[in-house]
Amino acid sequence: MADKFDDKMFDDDMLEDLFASAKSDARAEPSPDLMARVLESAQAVQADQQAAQQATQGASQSPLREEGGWWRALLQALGGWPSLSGVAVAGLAGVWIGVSSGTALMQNTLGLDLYGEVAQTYLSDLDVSYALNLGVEEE
Amino acid sequence: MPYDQQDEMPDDALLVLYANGDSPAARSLTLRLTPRAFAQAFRMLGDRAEAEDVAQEAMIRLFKQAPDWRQGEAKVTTWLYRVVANLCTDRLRKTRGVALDAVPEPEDDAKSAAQQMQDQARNDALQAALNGLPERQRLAVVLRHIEGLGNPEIAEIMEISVEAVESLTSRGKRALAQALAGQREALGYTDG
Repeated sequence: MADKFDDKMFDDDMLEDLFASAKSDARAEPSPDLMARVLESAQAVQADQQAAQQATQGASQSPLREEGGWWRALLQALGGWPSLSGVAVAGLAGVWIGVSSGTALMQNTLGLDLYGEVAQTYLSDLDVSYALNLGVEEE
Repeated sequence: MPYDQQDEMPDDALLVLYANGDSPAARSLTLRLTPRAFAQAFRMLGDRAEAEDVAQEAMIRLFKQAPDWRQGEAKVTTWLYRVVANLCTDRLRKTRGVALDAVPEPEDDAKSAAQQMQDQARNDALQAALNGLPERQRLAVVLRHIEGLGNPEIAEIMEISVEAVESLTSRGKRALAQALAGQREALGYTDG
């Protein structure tokens, strides 16, 4: 029993010594050639990553004109699809109001005259610049 | 950032710099981590040429991982040790056997020729005994007793419990002692 214990102690000491020796084993140190190759790889990978990053940024900043023509540029100037949908909704709302209201919105005299094709309706009622012409014709 | 200011910088901060295109960071990471990757690969494979291939491949994977690295989630060295271990396991399963004879002699003028020969013999004997261990035991013993890592980090690298690491290193040491028992005297270890 004591022999086995002594053997174990001896083996432990021997292994510790061997491990310590292995830590300073010059063969476990990388060669200058390996270091140079790894550094070269590091720089190459980094350059590729930077190029890819710049390409991505460039694509996201390119003008719409180049991608889809003048109407895309116009669309962008108006504020994009959200703005255009707003315009479309406003147009449809105008049509609906016009159709559903009939003459209800034409309560003033001019509106009733136009709608009822009254003879005394003149362009001068719409634009005073026509008043002179009207006077000449009457003479 | 100048290279000399990066000496004390944590590995993950260097990776961020690297991903941002910092050239000195590429150099710092190479100088700091390649020796660890190579040493682990050499002790797992027992062959310098194979170890160089593994170390370079592991480092390239690290560099490619840099833009996606999540700071604070894992230690860079833990990640690297795991990649090296996996690459070594792949190679060991493809090509069994080692070529210790192909390993060049170390050069150390400070030691006497006799001392160098004995150190060489001891390192060779240990490496041969390590090569005879099952892969998982070998990895655990190398990381614990030669690389000097703690059991929790080894557990993380090997993706097993700390208890399993302790079991692997314990069995590994026993197997090493048995393998080297017949060479005690030849290696210069004598009772008393």
